[in-house]
Amino acid sequence: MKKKLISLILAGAMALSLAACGGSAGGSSETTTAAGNAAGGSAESSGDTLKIGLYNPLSGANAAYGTELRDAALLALDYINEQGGFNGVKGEMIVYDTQGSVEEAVKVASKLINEDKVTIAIGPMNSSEMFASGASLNDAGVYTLGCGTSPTWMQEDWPYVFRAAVNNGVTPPLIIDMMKELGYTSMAGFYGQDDASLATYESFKKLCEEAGIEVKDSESYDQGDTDYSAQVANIVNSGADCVYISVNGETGPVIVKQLRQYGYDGIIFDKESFMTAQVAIAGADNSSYVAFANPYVTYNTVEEIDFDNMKDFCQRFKDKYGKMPQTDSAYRGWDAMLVLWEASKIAGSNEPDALKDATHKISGLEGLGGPIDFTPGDREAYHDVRKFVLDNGLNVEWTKWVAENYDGFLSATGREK
Amino acid sequence: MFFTLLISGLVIGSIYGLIALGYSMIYKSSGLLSFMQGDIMTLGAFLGITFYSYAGLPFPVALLLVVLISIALGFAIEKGVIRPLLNKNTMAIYIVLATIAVSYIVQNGSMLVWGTITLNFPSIFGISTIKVGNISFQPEALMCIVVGFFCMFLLQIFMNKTRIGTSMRAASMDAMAAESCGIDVSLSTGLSWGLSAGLAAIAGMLIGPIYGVYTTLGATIGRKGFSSAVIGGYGNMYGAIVGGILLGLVETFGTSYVSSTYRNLIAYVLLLIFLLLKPTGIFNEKAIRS
Repeated sequence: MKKKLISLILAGAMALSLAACGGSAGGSSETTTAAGNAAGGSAESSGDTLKIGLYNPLSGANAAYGTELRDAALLALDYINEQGGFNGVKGEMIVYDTQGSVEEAVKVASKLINEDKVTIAIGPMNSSEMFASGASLNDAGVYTLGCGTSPTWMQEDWPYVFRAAVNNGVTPPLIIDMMKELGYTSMAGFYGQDDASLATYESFKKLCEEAGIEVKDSESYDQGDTDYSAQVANIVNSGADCVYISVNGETGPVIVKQLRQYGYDGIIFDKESFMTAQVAIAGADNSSYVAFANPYVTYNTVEEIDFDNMKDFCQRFKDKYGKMPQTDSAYRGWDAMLVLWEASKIAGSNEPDALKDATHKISGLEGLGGPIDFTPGDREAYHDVRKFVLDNGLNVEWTKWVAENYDGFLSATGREK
Repeated sequence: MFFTLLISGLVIGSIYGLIALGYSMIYKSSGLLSFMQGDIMTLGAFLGITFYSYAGLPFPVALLLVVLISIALGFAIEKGVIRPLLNKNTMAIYIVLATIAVSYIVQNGSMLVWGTITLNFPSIFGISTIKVGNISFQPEALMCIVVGFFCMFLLQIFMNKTRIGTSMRAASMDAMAAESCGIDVSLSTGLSWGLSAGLAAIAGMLIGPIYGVYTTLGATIGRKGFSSAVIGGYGNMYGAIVGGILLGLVETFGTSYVSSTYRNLIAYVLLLIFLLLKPTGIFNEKAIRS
C-alpha cells in the first residue's frame, strides 16, 4: 500500500513536470476555432477554414513571451473572423510549442508543412528558431510572417518570409544619434552570446567606431549565467559616458539592476524596448534612464496610451485575458495577423503566392508600432522607429525628455553628461 | 575595483559554498551523490518571495518557514525516492539519476506554480545599495558571506561534536554496524537530506534579492556548487565553503582581468585541474578507492 502510494505521488509529480514542459517530445498541438478556444488533440481542418500555423515557445524560459504572442494572434483571429474572415473564409489556427528549442522549432515547422499542410505560418519570436526553420517553410512555399527581431534571418533569400515586427538592425544608428545628441563620446557595451544580441552588438560597435564614439569596454555573458558582477564592475570602472546593452529577454533587467547596485547612475541604452515585465524585475527606480529606439512600448494601464489603435488593442487584450500585455511579443502577434489580413484583402485570394506579391504592396497600414510599409521591398514592416526613455516608470518620448527632463537628470545624478 | 571584485567573488563564492555544503553533507552521511541542490535552491527562492513579498511576513519568519518546508521536502525525498531504491540494493548510479529526475520535477513544478517570468525579490533591508568610498554593494551581499561562513562552522561542529552528527557519519561508514549499535540509519540519512535541502533554500533566500527569482536560477549555481565541493574536498564542510570561495574568486577575477567570454571555461578548467592533480581537494578528503 505504502509503495503504491509513493508510486502514485511520483507519477503525479511526473505528470506535473510534463505538463509544465508543455507537451510531448513530438510537439504539442492545439487547434483553435474562430472563437479561439484552445483544445489539445487533432490538427485537422474542416476544409472550409483557412489553416494558419503558429509555432512559438509556450513553455521553457521564454514561455511568457511566446504565450502572449499566441494570445494576441488568437485575439486578432477572432477580430478578423468577426469582420468576415480572409476573403470570406474563417481562419483556424494550429498552434505548436517549440519549447524554446531550435530543434523542436525545426520539427514542428516540418509537421506544419507535411502533416497539417498549412500554406500560411506565423513564426516564432525567437530569432534562432526562425533562422533554423525558415528555409523549410520558404522552400515549401508557405507564406510566413516571422516574429523574431534579429537582422540575421531576414538576410536570407526567402521570398515567402516576411517580418511584421521591428528589425533590430535598424535601431543601432538611431541609438548612435541619441548618444550624439547628448554629446557622448564613449560607451561601454554588454552583450549576450545568442544570435540576436551578438549580431546587433557587432553592428552597433562598428557604427560607434564610424561615428567617433570610443568603445571603452565590451563585456559578454553566456545563456544561463546568473552573476554579472565582474562584467558590471568593469563597465562601471571604464568611466564610459553611457552603457549599451544588447541582451536577451529577461537578462536585461537583471543586468540593469546590477549596474545600478554597483553605482552606475547614467543612461543605459537598450537594443529593445524595456517592457513592463522587465521594469517589474529591475524595479521602477533602477529602470529610470533606460533609453531605446523601438516601435513598441508596453503600458501599465489603457488610460496612459496615446495611440488609438494601441488603446483599442490593449483594451481587447485586457477584456479577454484579464491583464495588460506585459511584453511586446503580444504586439508582434497582433501585427503579424493584421499584415496577413491586409495582404489577403489586396490579393483577393488566400493563396501563398498571391499573398506574397500583395504584401509588397502594403503601405500606410496602421500597426501597433506605427505605420507599416512593405513597399521598399526588403520584406520588413517597420522602417521608422520611435525613441523613448523610461523616467519614473513611464515611457517618455526621447526628444521631449531631452528638452524637458535632461537637466533634471544631470542634477539628480550629479553627472556632467 | 579590486575590492569591488573581491566582494563580488566572496558573495557568489559563499553561495557556491552553501550549495557545496549540501552536497558534502549528503555524501558524508550517506555516501551518495545528489544533483538536486540547485533546483531546491530555486524552490527556496520562490517560497521566500511568496512568504516575504506576497504574504508580507517578516524576513526572519519567512526564512524560518522556507527552511522548515525545505527540510521536510528533503526528508520526504529521501524517504519516498532514495530509501526505496537503497532498500532494493540499486546501484549508486540509479540513485544519482533519481536525484536528476527529482530536480527536473522541482524545476518544472516551480514553473507551473510561479510561471516563467523572472520575479523581483524586494530588498531585505529596505535599501538597495551601501556605498563605502568608491565601492557600492548590496547589504544582502554581506549577509551571503556571513551566513555562508556561519553555516560552515555550525555544520562542522554538528557533524563532529553532536550525537546526531556522529550517528550520520557512522551510518555512512557502515550502515549495518551502525544499526547494530542502535543508530537509526534511516532517520539519520533522512535528516542529512533534509538539512541539505534547508541549506540550499537558505542560499535561494539570500540571492533572490540580488539576482531576481526564475526557474533556472539554480541550474548553473548547482553545477558550480558541485565543482566547489570537489575542489574543497568532497565531503568536507570546511572544504565546501573554501572551495566555493576559491571558485567564486577565480571566476570573478578571471572574468574581469582575462575575459568575460571565458567565465565558465575558467571555472571548469579549475575543476579539471583539481580532479586530475588533486582529487582529494584542498582539505585532502578521501577521493580514491583503496
